[in-house]
Amino acid sequence: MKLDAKTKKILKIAAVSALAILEIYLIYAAVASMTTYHHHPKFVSVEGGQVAQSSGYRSQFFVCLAFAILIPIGAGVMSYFFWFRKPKAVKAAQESSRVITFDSSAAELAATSDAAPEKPETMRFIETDEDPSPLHDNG
Amino acid sequence: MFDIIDGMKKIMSIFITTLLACMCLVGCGGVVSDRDLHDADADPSLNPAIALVTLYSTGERGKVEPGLIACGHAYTSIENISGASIILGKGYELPAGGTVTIASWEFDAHSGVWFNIEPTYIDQGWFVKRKSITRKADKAAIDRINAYLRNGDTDKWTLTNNCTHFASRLWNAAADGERDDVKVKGLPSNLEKEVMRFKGYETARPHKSDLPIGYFSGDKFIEFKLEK
Repeated sequence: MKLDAKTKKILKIAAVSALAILEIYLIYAAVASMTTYHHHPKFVSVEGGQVAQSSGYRSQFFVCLAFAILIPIGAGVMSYFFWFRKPKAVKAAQESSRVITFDSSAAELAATSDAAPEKPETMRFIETDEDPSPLHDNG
Repeated sequence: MFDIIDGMKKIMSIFITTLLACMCLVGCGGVVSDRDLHDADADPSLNPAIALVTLYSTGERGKVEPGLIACGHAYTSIENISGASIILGKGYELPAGGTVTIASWEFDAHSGVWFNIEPTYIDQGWFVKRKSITRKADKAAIDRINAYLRNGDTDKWTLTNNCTHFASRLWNAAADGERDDVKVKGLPSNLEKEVMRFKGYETARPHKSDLPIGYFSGDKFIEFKLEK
């Protein structure tokens, strides 16, 4: 399915918004998990003072925190590649878009040919507008 | 552009319809009390009852902050109605007239079976809408409960062996064959509905207990007190 530039833009904005909402929820959930953890009664062992408390929401706090940290890091890495590295690569590709290619077959043909020894065309250069970069349009 | 908006509208309508259908199926269905608890006193084949076994379950949020997943809790209590002490599990002594709650908890000190945790929770305002059913248990039923409690796999809390599984299985161990059995469900809210299928189920049945709080590490009871 080919998407036009406007649709791609809408999808990008939707994806970034969804990530932002998820990030806000994860931060809230991490704080709320820790608050809930402290709402649970805390018990201490008679011998040794070992603490016992329902630990489900503490585990949830760490999971939320881990994802809340991972999302901005992931988004940072992605934006680095999409908005910084990619334009640089595209610019470099555009600068070297006019590539000069040596056509060796023409030279060989000239060397082995019994044709008249008039001014031989030993080398032939072909100018192409071929883009050597494997990068695709980012849209 | 209009195609995309139409497509999104279609997706949204399908999503909302599915969500409403799921809500109707899962959450909004009324519970019909269509089961009778077995009357142990009227059954001459049973020995005299020595204890009352109660199965509690609630799907309420308690003090869980809004926006978080809250599953509720399920547990059992055993009340000694005989004139002598009853030994439960690996050696918990239940004196005559005493009541103890037994549940599986995921605690940082021990993930498994805990004794008498729930009275503290109830004192602090948790599980106020708990639903429960109670049946009499004779010595044979207590022996079956003890066999279940002494099983090595019982004393481990996991997501697939949580408080609901534990409470249901303990009740079923005491239950008389299939007559009072409850289906082993995954969440306390499901078990609560199962409990409400029994005629005469109770809401917020009181149980106070000053008996020791703790768990068994091997055969040794590790006692805990509420931190003030």
